[in-house]
Amino acid sequence: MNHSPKKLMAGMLAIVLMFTLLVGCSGGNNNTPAENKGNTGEKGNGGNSGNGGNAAEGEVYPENGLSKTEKITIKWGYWENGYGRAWMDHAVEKFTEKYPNVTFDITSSPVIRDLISTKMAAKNDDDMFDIISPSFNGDEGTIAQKAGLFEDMSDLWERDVPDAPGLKLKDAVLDNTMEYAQKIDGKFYQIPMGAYALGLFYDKAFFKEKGWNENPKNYDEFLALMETIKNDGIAPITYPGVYATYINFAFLIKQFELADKAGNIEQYTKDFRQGINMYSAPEVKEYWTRMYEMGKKGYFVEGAAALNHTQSQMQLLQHKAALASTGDWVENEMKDAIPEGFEWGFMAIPFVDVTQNKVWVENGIGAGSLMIWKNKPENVKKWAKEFALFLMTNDIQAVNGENGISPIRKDFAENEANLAKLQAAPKAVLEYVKNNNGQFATGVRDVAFASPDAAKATKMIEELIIEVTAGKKDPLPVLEEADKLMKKVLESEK
Amino acid sequence: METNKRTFIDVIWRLIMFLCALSVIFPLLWIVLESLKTNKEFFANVWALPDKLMFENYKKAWDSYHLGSTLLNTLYYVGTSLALGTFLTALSAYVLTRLEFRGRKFIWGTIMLSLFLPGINALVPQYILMRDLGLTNSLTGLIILDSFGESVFFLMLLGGFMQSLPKEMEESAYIDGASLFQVFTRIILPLSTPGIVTVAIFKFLGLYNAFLGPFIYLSDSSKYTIGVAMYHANQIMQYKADWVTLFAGVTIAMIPTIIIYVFFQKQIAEGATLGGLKG
Amino acid sequence: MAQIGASVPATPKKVSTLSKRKVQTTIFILLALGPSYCGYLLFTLYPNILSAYYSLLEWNGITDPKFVWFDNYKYLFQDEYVWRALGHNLILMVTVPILTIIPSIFLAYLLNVKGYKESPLYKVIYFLPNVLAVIVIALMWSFIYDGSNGLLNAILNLFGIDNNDFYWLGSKKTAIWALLPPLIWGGVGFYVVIFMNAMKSIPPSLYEAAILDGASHMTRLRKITIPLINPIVRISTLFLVLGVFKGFEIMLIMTNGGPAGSTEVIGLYMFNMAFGKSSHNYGYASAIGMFLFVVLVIAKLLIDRLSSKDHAEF
Repeated sequence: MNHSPKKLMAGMLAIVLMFTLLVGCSGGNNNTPAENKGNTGEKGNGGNSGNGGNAAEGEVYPENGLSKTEKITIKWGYWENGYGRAWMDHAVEKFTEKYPNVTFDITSSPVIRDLISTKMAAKNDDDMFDIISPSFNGDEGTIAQKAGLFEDMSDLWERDVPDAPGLKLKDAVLDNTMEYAQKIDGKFYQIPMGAYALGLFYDKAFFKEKGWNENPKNYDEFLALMETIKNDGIAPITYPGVYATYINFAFLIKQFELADKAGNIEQYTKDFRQGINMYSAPEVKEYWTRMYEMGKKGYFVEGAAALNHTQSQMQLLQHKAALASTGDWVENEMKDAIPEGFEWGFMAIPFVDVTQNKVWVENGIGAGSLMIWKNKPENVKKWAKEFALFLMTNDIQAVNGENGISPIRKDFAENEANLAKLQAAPKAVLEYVKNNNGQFATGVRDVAFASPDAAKATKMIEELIIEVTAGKKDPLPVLEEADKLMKKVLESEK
Repeated sequence: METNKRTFIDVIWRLIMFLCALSVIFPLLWIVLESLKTNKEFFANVWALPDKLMFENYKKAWDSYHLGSTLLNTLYYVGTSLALGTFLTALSAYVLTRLEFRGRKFIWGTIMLSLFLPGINALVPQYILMRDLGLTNSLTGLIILDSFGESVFFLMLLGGFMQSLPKEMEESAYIDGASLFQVFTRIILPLSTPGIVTVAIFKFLGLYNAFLGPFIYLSDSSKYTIGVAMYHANQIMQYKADWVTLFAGVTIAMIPTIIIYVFFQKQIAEGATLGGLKG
Repeated sequence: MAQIGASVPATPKKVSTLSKRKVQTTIFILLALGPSYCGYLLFTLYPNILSAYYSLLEWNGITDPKFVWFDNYKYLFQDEYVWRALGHNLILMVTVPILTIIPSIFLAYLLNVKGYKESPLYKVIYFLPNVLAVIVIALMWSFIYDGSNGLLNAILNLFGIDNNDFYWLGSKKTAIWALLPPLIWGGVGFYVVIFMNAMKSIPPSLYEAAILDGASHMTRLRKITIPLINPIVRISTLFLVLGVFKGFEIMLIMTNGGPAGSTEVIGLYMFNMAFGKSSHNYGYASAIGMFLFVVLVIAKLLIDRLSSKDHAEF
């Protein structure tokens, strides 16, 4: 009798352990989803109706050959960011109106990345969203694309855009789109559906009132502007130090400007995209040095380190700072708080003389573009692609434009009514580029490094920003240190 | 004790106590005040009074954070976890503090381990486990996760209280032939009410305010609880400048907790003890 | 030796029913403790054991994990960010418990001993921050510290101090200290209640003798109250120390570790390694977690050692 409880206890523990082991094993099985890739396809929709081409005439949509009757649900993990969710709600409404057999199951969150990462690490395809967007961007997205977790969407370039039969997508988009869009090993895992531009935004009305130079033509004029603003008791530049990389929106692209002036742009762009000399190129050192000089003169707002995006942009709206380093979504982001009489203006920092050389402005394409999870039923993926294509119609692009996403269709501007709908901040960018010999370019790299050393270098540089803009730390030694780490990383990748 | 002798030092003590109370009340009132402004008023001067009380903010918060459905989800999630979890905690506390048996020390030791586990690093394995058990994307799954478990904090809170109970009633019940379960339900539970209420309140607060678990485990936003809604409302402020609606939402979210607290504050004042679970 | 059985029937009078009782007891213990304890083993302990295994992997959550033995640990010891973060934890570990417990004891003593007519109301108010979500606390304090329109600067201005819109969370010198008030503010009320209850259980006769001897409040607090509630103080200290080591939500929301890493604590570093904005490293995050586990156990042993006048274990 004395022993039975002990045995029972032991038995219970054994059962628990067995249970946990079983769970552990099943977890282990799921770690290799590649083996049942094919199965998930059929499992998802109960029957092989995936190829709509077999269905009878009249039961398929003529434009894409997909079945009209088959019910499809697309699970969408949506990142709710500065563009809000109005454009997404609108696009979904229009799409499901046109294709009533398709429904969307949307999980919308400002922190959707945390959820996506967890699901990705858990390696269960059924549990994953069918599409995720806007771009699961940054290094993590690049690594995931490289690992082949997403559907190759390159074929969409050859498709006709739905509202202009005969016009291929690759010809419908703005020039250079394909060149600038991120591709991994030559494949497109996301098709850009909108564009954005980055730089310094300001209030034209305020500048006029103060009599400040709205269009400095060279670096000296720019510095003079900074000095004037500072002497007027206003902080020249604000940026969100909690997410310090926002300052890059004004500075990162300047290395291209310098390389371009030196006549070295082609090789420079190649190296940049491959992550070569990330921290050691003279052009990189130069822009950091200039940032440091500006920091020492007190041209960045004090206490920037405590600000998040909206707080920093608030300083702009409240005229506590003259310029804010951000993107052209700023207007949409701040729409609840923009005071009357505020007029959006834009400038880039001229590192060169804009009357002789091009002034570079960072833009990007890919705002809002979606990616499709690879291990999903074929017909869900097909409909997801249809949806991606649908986002390129001018009606959708116009509504997106109202919500701060710059349209990417070439023929969009042919319609005056379309243009009028654009928000003022993106318009200000276009105006600046037109008047100042501007050159758009992207700061996206084609590679990403996941090793601890690379992460350490990134962290080092991010923390450096605050110190440099406060004029407290010479960036060059830190750049050198980060460069050493990256050399090690590149070496080990070989 | 000699109470009513008031000296100069009392004035200082009372002032200190008043300032402490003020530091609690003032920021809370400030949130309520801001929730009744327009965004422009808020940004123009956070300390000025609003021209007109904007009760519309509350309607907007209610709609845009889907507080109606989230509160219903919260009611189910918190209510069930609370009833089940508190009962189980009371049982555990009773067994571990008032019964002597072989293996008790070992069990208590393994539970103590959890105090030192950092937690966050186990989120991914825990997610995988939950998914394999089919418990993700379900409020019931979340209830199971939150109800079946041990917490050193709650065991100490309740165990400490139970240990202070006199043993005589229990003993006489045994002599009358009552079973352990009867002793537990008829004697221990009623006597421990303040302690149990205190544990329940803390569980309530933890569950009500929890956001990371519900967010990770519930991918369907129609199942979100108020904690997730508030987390999102706060995070979205990185991309929006609609602070007054956030303040209104926060105020709505605070109301149930404050009501429940005020309602049960007597029991907390009595039941909050950190007891020595002697191992 | 009967190991099993209620401690209660200390003198077994009815020997015949004793063995039956033992079986009953055993079944009761299994049923009562089983579900929650198994849940604990499954949902808490098992994922942590798995995490210990993860700590031997190089794994970003995307590509296939690579088994690297103790590389993560080797890296950890050379990672100055880990040590810097631990340094910040150390600052908080010393300050937060002291600044929480001492005021709590004082307020509890005042509330218990001095029957001011407003005392009952204060009891209710002091506890109030404990019912608030961390998010609300962080949000509130962010606005208190705001440079251009924060409460703190507004108060300083009232006293004629113009600090030029100083951002308390924006300076490396002040940021970590500025985190102390929210951390303490959120916790004092709970410990006030805990200490009040502990003080109530001290027999009044002990005080009466001291009062006769003419001992002041200070003396009574020092000589009678504090020694008698010492076990509770120790448990509270332990909870606070562990809480400070593990917690990072306030920093995540208020500063995200900045400026320039000056408020980055180890929990936040680990969190960002596993869930941050840039690429992830679950293996390394797990290694930090395991390392933290060891640090916490050592901290516990140290607290025991430093304060073990009596042998009350917990």
